[in-house]
Amino acid sequence: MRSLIALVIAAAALGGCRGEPSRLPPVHLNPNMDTQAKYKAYGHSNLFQDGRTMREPPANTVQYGLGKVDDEVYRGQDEFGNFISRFPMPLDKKLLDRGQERYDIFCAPCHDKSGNGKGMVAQRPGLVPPPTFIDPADANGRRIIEMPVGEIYNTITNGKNTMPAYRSQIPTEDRWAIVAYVRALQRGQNARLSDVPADQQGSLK
Amino acid sequence: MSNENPGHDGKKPLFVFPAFHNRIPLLLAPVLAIAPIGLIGAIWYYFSPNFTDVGYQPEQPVAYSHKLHAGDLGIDCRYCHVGVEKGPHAGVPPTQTCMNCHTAVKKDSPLLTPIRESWVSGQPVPWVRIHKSPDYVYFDHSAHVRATIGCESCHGRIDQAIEVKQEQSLSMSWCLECHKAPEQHLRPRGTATVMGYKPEGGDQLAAGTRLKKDHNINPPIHCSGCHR
Repeated sequence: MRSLIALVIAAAALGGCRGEPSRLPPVHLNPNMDTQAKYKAYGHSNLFQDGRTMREPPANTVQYGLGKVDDEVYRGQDEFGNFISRFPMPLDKKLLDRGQERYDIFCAPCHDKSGNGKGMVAQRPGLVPPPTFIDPADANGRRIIEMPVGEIYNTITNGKNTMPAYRSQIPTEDRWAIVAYVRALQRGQNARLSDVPADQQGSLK
Repeated sequence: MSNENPGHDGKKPLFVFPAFHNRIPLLLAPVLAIAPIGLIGAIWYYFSPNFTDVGYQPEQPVAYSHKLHAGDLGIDCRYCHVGVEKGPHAGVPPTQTCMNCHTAVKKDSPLLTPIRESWVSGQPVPWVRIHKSPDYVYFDHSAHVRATIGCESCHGRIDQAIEVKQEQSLSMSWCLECHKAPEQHLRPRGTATVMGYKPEGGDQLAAGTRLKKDHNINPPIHCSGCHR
């Protein structure tokens, strides 16, 4: 009996416990059809030279129906190449809410949730912190407050100075939502009591 | 051998089973009775994805720390995993996403050599996949994020993970556990990426039951919900 108990303990010690970290890939003792011979996202391909299953569209091609022909929407410019100062879509609460959410994801790491340019990532050594875009007393702040919306859209799309381009991470409509929210931050930080609707001013006094 | 048991020819000694052989069946009986139980127990314990898959923590080409990026710096999951709200795959970020910051931050660190090499060559960094549902399973991240199941419910406290490992078994019973009672994990809209989430009022079941009703969340539990 003692040897039997010893055997069980030895087997358990050899097998280990559930959930222990392991460098070795999982072995499925009953393989079923868990892993099938087909290409899936991010998979390795033996067919293509670069080893990638996921292919890029050929150079200089446009996906059918997705030609970015509207300069105002896709480039923030009018027909003369000047940056537009009016939004090319109606502004509503939904767009601003979306802009806030997207801003907090993609912009806040550097620009901070307030727009003062003191986000957590911007404070890492090596990175040049972005200028504030909410403070009219600051030369850059003033410049960005007066900047046409099309130019802000262009900065998000193509980057500027040390800021990288975000066109691959943020779709066009979300970039415009972020521009709208940037405008909201600029107004919100410099608001006067007279900006508040008259019937709600009382609650702020 | 003595001459007490002579063979037929009177020369070779005859083999006789020693007396203790009589006790062998008696000793073997309890072992044979226990063995199947042990075998079933071992299969139950060791064949389960809870044993084979949970804890898988492969060595990655770059010692990327989610604790630093998502935890300490507070970068939202979706900054890198941009596909999570749109499609089946959360997405592994391209090297460009790393270089958004690392052209400036730690730009000469030897730890980031594979990233810079990938940036120059255009070849992807060979990140090692950790979570993989079987190929006969349809799974879509976006459906789960839209219903607002927290990232944490399946991936654990990523904001505390210096190295990521598989937290949950991804077994069918594990899927169904939540599909049958999603109120255990449902959160209010927009809080999916929050780590260390505490439900309002502290009662997850009450909050979850309300959300399930309000948002009309009925996860499929029929076969073709996931095996399509």
